[in-house]
Amino acid sequence: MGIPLSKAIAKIFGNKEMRILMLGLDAAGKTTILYKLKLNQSVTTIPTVGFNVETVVYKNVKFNVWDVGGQDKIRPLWRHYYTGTQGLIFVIDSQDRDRIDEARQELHRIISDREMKDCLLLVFANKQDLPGAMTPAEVTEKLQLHTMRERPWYVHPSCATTGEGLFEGLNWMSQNVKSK
Amino acid sequence: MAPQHVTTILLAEFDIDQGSVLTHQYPTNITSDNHVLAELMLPDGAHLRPADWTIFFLNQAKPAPWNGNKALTESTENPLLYVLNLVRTNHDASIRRGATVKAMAICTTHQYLHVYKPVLLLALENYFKNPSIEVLKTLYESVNSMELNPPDLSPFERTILRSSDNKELFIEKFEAAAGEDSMAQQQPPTPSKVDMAHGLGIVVGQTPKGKDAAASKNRDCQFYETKVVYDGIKIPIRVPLSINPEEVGEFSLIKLITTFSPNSPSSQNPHPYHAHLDSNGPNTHPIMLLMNALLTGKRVIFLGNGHPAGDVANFVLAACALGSGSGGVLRGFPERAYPYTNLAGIDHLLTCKGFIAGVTNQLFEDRTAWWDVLCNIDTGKITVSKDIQPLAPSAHSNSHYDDIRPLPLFSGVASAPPSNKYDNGDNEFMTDILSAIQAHYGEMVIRAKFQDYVTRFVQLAAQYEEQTYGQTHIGINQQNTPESSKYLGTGLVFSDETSRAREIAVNASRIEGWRATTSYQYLKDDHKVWLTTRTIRCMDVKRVIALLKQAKSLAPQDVSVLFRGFLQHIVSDKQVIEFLACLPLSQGGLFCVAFGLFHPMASVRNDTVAFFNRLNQHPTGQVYIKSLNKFERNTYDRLSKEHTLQVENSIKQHQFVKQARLSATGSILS
Repeated sequence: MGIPLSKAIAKIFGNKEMRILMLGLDAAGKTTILYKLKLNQSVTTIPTVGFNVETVVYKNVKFNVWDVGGQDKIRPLWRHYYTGTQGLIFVIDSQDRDRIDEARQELHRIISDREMKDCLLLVFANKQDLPGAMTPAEVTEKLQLHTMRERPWYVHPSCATTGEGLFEGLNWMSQNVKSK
Repeated sequence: MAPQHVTTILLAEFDIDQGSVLTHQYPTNITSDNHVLAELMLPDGAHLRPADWTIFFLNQAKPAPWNGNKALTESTENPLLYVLNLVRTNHDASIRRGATVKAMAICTTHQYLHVYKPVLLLALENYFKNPSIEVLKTLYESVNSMELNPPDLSPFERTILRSSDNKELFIEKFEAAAGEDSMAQQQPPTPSKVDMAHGLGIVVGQTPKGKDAAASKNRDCQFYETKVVYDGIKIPIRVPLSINPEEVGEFSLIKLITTFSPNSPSSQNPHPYHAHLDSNGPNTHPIMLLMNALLTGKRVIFLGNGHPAGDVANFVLAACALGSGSGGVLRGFPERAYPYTNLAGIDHLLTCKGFIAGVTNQLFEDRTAWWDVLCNIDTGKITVSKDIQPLAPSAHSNSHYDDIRPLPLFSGVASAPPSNKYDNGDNEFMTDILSAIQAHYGEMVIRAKFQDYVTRFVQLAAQYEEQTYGQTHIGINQQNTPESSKYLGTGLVFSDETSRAREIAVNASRIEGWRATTSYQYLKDDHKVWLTTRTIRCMDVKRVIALLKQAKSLAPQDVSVLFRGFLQHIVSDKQVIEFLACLPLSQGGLFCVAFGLFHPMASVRNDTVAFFNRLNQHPTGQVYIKSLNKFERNTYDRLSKEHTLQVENSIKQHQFVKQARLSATGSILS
């Protein structure tokens, strides 16, 4: 009986729930973003073994954010998280020019999966505070996002430690999500 | 070569660039699937906590047939390996990304793998200080040089020991084992002792004869005490002795029961009726639903969202004990158990029929196609998957049975859910269990009750097979025990014919579900072996004792035949042990047999005395006789004296007559 009632309330007040998967190469800043969103604090993170999952409420939207470890050997596990994902946040270390190609390959592999065909793509061009960071335009180009025609995508600059840009990204997500 | 206690030591670490990596396997590689192994050793969320103990199993093929603890160590190339794993996260701001995560694991064929916890803790600590394969080598060598000569107990003897804390039980076997130890050690005459500083105060090894008695008073008869010397530190090890074949690790059945017993029955998740699971209709207790899921080989998951992996692992081990009758009745549970697994192991997991798995990733909850029953350890809720395979209406006829008979008698009854009010006995059982837990009865008492429950389930299934298929391969019956007709028959005891028929009918579905599982096949195999190795072949001892316990007015003639049967057929040491194993000391031991001392018929009284005299000659029988209540003991002592007198008198009389005859003949001759 409890579930239908809360659903009714959600309908009246327009609460939305969104399942977000946050991926990216190791040390891109995924966990820092997650806890900045959740706690509005910059926490010192260590490499994620497995995953972190938190619920973040922003502008009446309940974001269920899954942050999955990004090291090379554990990337094959990402596919298990695809089913039911409505939004993908792909995090880029904008200073890491050496691995931007690797990031592009991983990104294209993820979104070509059948389970991800309807999912929104938000790219955080993270670590904008660091010297020599690639601009969002540069990231867009390097990731070859323009080749994606069907899918709504958005690149936003961010700095996870200060929180700059993060909620703007979520805002874009909540506005573009298709209601269930 | 002495058997290896530990076959392999593993080391995995979370490489900050690559991810989970298996760094070392010592002495040899046991697997080529290094990546999955590394993932299991570094459980989800390891970075969130300083340490996590996990358990997982390797080589989940068939273990050897049951013949006690030794089965596994003696079995073929690929025994089931139990893996105890410790993962630790050390924060260190001076290194890149601020922390190191490393895990070390011990692979063993010992069910009591938890005894290695202290030594593993020390070794991983050493590995953090000095990351070299030498650390693994030292650990391997020190655990394998552990002295391990526990008293040699047969499965029946273990059953007897398990039900009692009586310190005199099997004292002769303990002494023999201690003797062997001292011979093996061949040390100078100073008594070698287990590290006294660790508060055990148990003397092993060369003990002067006179001190034996004192030592045995201190000993805990449930454990064998030994030690591992690692890095100059003596670590006491307590090896449990009365462990059942399928009890693995250190778990709490009580915790499993209390976690999943709702405060109010209405809070349960509704689901469509499933004939295997809902044996008591809508009133099926969640623990019984879980029991049924385990018995009928459903895919069961324990989810502890965000918990340490060790938490869910213990629930899985407890579930194995639940389904197998505290590890003592049915087999085939650990081989399909995955105490901890994660997404890296999912492909393997999904190939396993009827797995029992522990996970900490809430993703599993949404993937309803992966499991049949999900137990959430946080909410205490047991959910039946909406994707669970519904039972085909012809479930009964396509069961695995050689004898194909068209229509089982009770299929019609069982296909409809039982009505709201009827209790098949499970709810009464669960009420008893929960009140026992509330009254602070111990873990072993609760385990014994579940062992009895599953034993009864099997006996019931045998009756069901007899009735439905005309034969059974899992129980004692007229065919395999023809003499039993003299001794009160075979099979489960029911209060009357109606309750028998009803109990069989309401259990028919889950019995059929169980008959399609490997645990049923194992039982068939085991039963076949048991029939050829049992030492009491003339009667169904369990049935006979159940009837004696009911103290229902048995016909004096039957009782007379029965006690004569005891006297005639329970003679050898093995027969005595097999008989006593059916009479747990915790349930009164011989009290129900002692009724014979008070029987109106003198022949019964005499046979009982003679039988008790025989038991009294056996060291274990003696312990049983000693633990009779005072009234019974006094009666036994008195009757025993009278009996001896009678015998003596009759001998004297006999001799007197003989002498008289002799002298008579002598006088005639002279």
